[in-house]
Amino acid sequence: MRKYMLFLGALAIASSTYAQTYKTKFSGANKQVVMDMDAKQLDIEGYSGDEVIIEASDLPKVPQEADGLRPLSAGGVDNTNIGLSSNLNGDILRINVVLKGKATYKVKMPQDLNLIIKKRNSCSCNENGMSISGIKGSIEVNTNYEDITLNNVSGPIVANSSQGKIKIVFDDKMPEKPSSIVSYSDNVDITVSEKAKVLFSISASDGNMFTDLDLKPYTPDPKTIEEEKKAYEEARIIGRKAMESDAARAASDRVAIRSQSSGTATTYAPGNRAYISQSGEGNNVVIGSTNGVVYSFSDGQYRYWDSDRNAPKYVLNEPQTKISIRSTRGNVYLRKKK
Amino acid sequence: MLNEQIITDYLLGHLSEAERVVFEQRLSTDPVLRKEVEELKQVWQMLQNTEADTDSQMDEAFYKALQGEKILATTVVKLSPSPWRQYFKYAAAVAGIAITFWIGRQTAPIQIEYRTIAAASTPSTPPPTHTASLQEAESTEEDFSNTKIPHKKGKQESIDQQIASLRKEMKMTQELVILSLLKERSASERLKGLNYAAALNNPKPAVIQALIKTLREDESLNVRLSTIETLERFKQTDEVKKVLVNQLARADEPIEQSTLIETLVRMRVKESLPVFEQIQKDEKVDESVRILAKNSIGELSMITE
Repeated sequence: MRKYMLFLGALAIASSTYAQTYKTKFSGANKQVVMDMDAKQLDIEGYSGDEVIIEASDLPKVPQEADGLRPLSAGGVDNTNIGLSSNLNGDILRINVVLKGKATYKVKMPQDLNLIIKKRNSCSCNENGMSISGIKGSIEVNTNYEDITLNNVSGPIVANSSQGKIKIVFDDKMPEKPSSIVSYSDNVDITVSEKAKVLFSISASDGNMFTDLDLKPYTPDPKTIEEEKKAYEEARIIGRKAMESDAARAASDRVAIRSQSSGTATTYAPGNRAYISQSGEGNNVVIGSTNGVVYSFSDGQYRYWDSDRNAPKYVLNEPQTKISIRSTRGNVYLRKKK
Repeated sequence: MLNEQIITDYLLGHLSEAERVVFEQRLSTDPVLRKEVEELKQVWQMLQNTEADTDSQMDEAFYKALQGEKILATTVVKLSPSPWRQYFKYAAAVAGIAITFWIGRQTAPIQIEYRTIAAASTPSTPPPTHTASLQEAESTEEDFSNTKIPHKKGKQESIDQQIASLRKEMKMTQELVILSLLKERSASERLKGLNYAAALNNPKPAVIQALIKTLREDESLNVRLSTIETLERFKQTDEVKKVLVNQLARADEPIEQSTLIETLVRMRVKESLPVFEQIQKDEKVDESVRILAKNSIGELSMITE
């Protein structure tokens, strides 16, 4: 009997530190998880399932007076039993901490979800660190003091930290959309595969930049742009021909769709796509591509336009993925993946 | 005005007998009042005359219309054996709308078209399926719903899918693309919109307004920073300068503050001096931003001299 009581006792003690779990089905590449977390430590991992699974440990003790009651705060009511409020609204799942005092959370979520981590002002949130890995969707992280660590990510990253370090290791597959990494006080450390095709736009105001990648300074190459213009003209011709006969259509390995009003063709082939817009006079042409790199041709000159035009630009292999880095006081490290 | 009310009542005959007598007595003794009454009377008469004129014209028109209606009424009653005519009316209406629509499209000044960048011989994997959400510009008229696309085996099928999504994409002008990108949920898409905006030579006011709104309201610091840099590119109107100064007064992120300070100095905006001074004194502001503000006061004062 005694042993039994002892065992029960031990179990009771253990259960207070036992990790508790919350699960909810939520997945899809067009869906978002928005987290507003103040924890001791937050680790997020992408996986190939379809549920968001949150494991909490070291939950703060709740006073006896709160027996049978649920925590509630501006973030909502605890509907997960782990100090979090989880609310689904359309395509967005919002998860907020509602219990003060910090717990440790391990989150597993479907890897194609998009993630947004909100910043809490004047908060030493997640002081033991925050890490995100294996997410393929887009990630947006904002922090005050805590360091941001991203591993094996392949979606666009929009990150900023006031006082923390930002460290990102990209997957071999690079994002198509532009990324932006901004850090005020501390370093930015980015690792990409040496075969990746990246256009870096970097500015380190007070710090230094270091790299072991084979970067080349980037200036829009008039030749490349000339070639692109030619390709565009060619596409128009293909398009026109395609209108004329099925044989011509079959012969081209691009498929042309003719635009009736202007007689110009839009061609499309797997691979990169670009958008060309011409202003009314026809002299100002803007060529934009899916990765957000933009050229313009006007007044007889080719220009490369980018909103952060003051920052020096470097190309790794080809200017495909755009990554914009700004560091005020820290250094910037660009590394080759080993 | 009391006078006017009484005069009106008098002219309309609304005064009681006793009141009328009193009023007329007043009239005989008060030349100013007499004058007022006369003037008002004249105005009224003029109005009545013009009304009378219109009335006769209106009458004519009315009778003509009535005739017309009568004729129409008789024809309608026929319920006749030429439904053709009826359908023609509807067809004409539809054609009219279609023509107007078509004319409208013709006059659309800006077109955006797709085209491939990679002249690569081996097509790589098809672009990700979330292109549908991109909503990026599209070509103009597409009249291809009936076109047959040659079948070329497996690869062709994915091209078919992609063409289908191309077709679905909306036809938008350059500005609309940017405006819609700026509203996207994903910060990365908004950054893309800013890149496109930065490439415009003469952005329409709607685009500048959208940029201003983004600067003030966007949740993402990265997007706001990119907006500041984009705004600096354009003709720097007073409105833009004002917005930047206001944003500096509201910003509390050190990097946003320092970017704004540097931008305002480059743009030589004198109006930012008071805000710089405020920041320099504010102890809650990060030390290096305060130093930057202090130095910028010096720099800006020198330039404007």
